[in-house]
Amino acid sequence: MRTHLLMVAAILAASSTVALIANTTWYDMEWIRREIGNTGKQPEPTTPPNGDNPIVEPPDPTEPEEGYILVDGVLENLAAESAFFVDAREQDDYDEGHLRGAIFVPADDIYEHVPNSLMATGALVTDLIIVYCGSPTCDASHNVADALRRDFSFENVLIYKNGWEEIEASDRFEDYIVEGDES
Amino acid sequence: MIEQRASSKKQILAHLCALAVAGYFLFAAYGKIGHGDARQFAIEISNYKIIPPAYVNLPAVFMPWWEVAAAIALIVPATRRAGASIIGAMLVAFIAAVAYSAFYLGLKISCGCTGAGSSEAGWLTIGRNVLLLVGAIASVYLYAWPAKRQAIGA
Repeated sequence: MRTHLLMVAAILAASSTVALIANTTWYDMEWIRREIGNTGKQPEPTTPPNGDNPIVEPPDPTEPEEGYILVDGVLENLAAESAFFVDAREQDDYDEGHLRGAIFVPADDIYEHVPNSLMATGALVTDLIIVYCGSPTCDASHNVADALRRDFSFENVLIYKNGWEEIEASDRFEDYIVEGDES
Repeated sequence: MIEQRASSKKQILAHLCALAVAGYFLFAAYGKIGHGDARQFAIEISNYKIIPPAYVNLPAVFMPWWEVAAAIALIVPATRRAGASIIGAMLVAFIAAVAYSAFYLGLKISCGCTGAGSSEAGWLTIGRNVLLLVGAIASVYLYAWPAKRQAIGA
């Protein structure tokens, strides 16, 4: 039993050492991830000088949280062609319909698609990137946006939280929806 | 004579089980070891909502190399038991993680088993992991079977 446990420990120790070396020399990933900006945090409450209870302003429903964009902003950018749109859903969903010009970057294969699709179209790290996925509850857009900010240094990434659910339900997007490979 | 043929058949089966399980783990690790792959694997881990987001890079870096080492240990008879123990512990953890995230939390997520483009976490993932667990256990016990029978004096 003792020999067995020693062998398990030795195997784990050796492989952990290789992992440490791989990350130091190759991956260069942070050991502990730091928070990146545009996290959509609510503003801190301000304390009045006379020591009364802090004032917490209720969020303005017409103003997006930091790191997010609302439907009006999306439509403005679509009309002006002033942003790169990224569709973070799965291939089947993208093929059924997506925003005109939206680049397919699925959340389950980000690091293959960002350089070969998004950056290949000429997107610069200073350009506005708007990421959407299926619905307000899906994480795909958050994962893609985080990767764009953290690993590809894009400075201006916004998440369209309501995503395809709102696009499909609204008649304001009729001129901007295409299918298949159409862009 | 018949007993020797039976025991050598069991040993061949043990080796085949070890090769099959080790082959899968080596394939799975390969999809998680490259530069972008490790980062993608960290995202898959964060989707399970088990490990705090700040710490997801740690298993993303270490786990694939544990899989490689355990797979190689499983193939080599002298270290098979240790390799099977590590693989067995990982499979039990994976099964529990899928059960918690996919069923208890109801999340629709990629399992992250083989890196980018993995299948959805669900019953198939659990079924596959149970089969791998059975294979890992079989590779140890079938291989040890002849020695045990001799020790008992059968």
